[in-house]
Amino acid sequence: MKGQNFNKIIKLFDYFKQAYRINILHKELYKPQVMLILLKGLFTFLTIASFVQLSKNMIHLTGLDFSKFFKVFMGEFLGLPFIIILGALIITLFGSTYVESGLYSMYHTFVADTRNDKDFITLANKYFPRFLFGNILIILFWILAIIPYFILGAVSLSIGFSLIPIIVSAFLMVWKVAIVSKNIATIDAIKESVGFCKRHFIPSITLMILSRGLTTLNSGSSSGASWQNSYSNIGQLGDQPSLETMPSNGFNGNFFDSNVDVSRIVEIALYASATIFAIMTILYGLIHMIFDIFFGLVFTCVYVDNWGQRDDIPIDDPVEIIGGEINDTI
Amino acid sequence: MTQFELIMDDLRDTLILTNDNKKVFLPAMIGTLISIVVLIVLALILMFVAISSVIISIAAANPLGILFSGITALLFVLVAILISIFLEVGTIALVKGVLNGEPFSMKLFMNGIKAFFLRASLTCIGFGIVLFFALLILILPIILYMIIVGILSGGWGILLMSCFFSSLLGYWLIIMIERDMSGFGSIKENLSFGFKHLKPMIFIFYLQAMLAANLITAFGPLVTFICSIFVTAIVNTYFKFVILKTYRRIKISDVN
Repeated sequence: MKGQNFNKIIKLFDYFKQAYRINILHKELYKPQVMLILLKGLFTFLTIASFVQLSKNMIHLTGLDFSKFFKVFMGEFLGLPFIIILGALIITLFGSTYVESGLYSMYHTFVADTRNDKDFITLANKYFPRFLFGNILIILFWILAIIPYFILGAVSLSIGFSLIPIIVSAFLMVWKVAIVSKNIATIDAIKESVGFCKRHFIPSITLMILSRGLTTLNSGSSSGASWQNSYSNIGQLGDQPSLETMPSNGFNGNFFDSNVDVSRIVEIALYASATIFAIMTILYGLIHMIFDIFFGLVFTCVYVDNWGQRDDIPIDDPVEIIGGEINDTI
Repeated sequence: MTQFELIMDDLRDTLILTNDNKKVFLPAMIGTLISIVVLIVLALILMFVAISSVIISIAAANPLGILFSGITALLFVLVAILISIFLEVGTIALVKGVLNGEPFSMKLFMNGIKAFFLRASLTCIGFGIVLFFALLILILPIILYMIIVGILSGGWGILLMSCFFSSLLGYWLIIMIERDMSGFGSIKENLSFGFKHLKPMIFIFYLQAMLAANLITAFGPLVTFICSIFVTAIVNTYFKFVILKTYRRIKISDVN
């Protein structure tokens, strides 16, 4: 491997050590995330439980005739529940971004060792709009880029399917750190992140591959978009529409009188699976919280230390021409 | 310094060492290539023998033909195991030599095999029989664990379990070659060392599992399909260095 790139990659181990030390010393990094995760778990349970209630009432109305069931279900669904679920998605996006903005400012405080008297709430409020704007931009970018992504991926013999999200994530690796560290606007931070990655291309790609490789369990060839990783477990808030007031005709009543045990068992099974899904969401969230915090710290360390380089930051000042002559050094 | 930081130092030093001595990966790579070819050839022979013996035994109404193909299948498995033991013993001897500072040479590989191949093979067979019976007893709790914890944790529980077992029984061969112990002595040493230092070893095996599986998937499914066996061989050789280094370091600090 070329000398300079290899030395930068060697520095990675120091950044891992630094991130670990900060992790151990500052357990308060975990508090905001844990609350968010517990909320998500609760939301998941409530959503599935409400869907179970909805379906149960549907079955009482329409019997076991599936097509009729589906039509009435969609009719009910596209009304209030859909709006509520969309609202829950947006609330989760806002909540995660808020927690993220506070966390990144905490990372910067610990890594750059700046004494900060402001607490989590003040810092989070300060950076939240920029983080939100950036996250929405990136989500929109990926929505627009899906088709070119698939074309490029197929053309590149499927190498692109994994490599393109990794390269894009590498270019976007430090925009959050840049916002917090230099207090600049979102677009400038993204430009800064792209420039940072261009200056240290191979080490950044290596770090991105490592972070993805050490945190995903599926041998995913198509996973890796950074926004997917942030929002993959979106909890859903559901409100149960009250259908008990709807009349049920006599035939269904007879049908279920004789089969009341079966429907109770199905209902219990569905509630049990709702609990299991909630536990899965919470556990998944906890495990990924540890990885997110660790690698957030690593990215902050990398940016603050500039991969150990002291002299390759581009200078914006114009070069002074002395005596009308410029010496060209080779 | 915590164990994490010391392990990071081991990882970094190994990266530098293997970068300077890239040839250490050669035996593992060539061995993998050879073993693929040998196993394909053996599989073809096995298929031929199986089909022809089934035909013959049906034609001659003689069940011995099926027995013959069964024995061939067993031989196939035995050859596969022996090839992998051959590669492992040689690579570990090579790793130990390069870690001690000796320059890379196939002599290290061959000396290791001459000294340890018989011991390793006998231990493997004996230990395999023990494991088989242990598995019969343990299979039910293991499956229960895999279903409950595996589903709830989305697969991380299963990874944890495999890292746990690897940290207890995953490097007895390295210990055997490092300290020139007997077969079952090295397994006992592996168990006691593993129980005493569970967390660092589980972490190392977790790294090995994730890197061996995921490093190459960054380049897409096609490249993964072609290269994953070789990348696994490289990662495993790299981690033989790391495990040996960590073992030596912890052993020294244990004595003090």
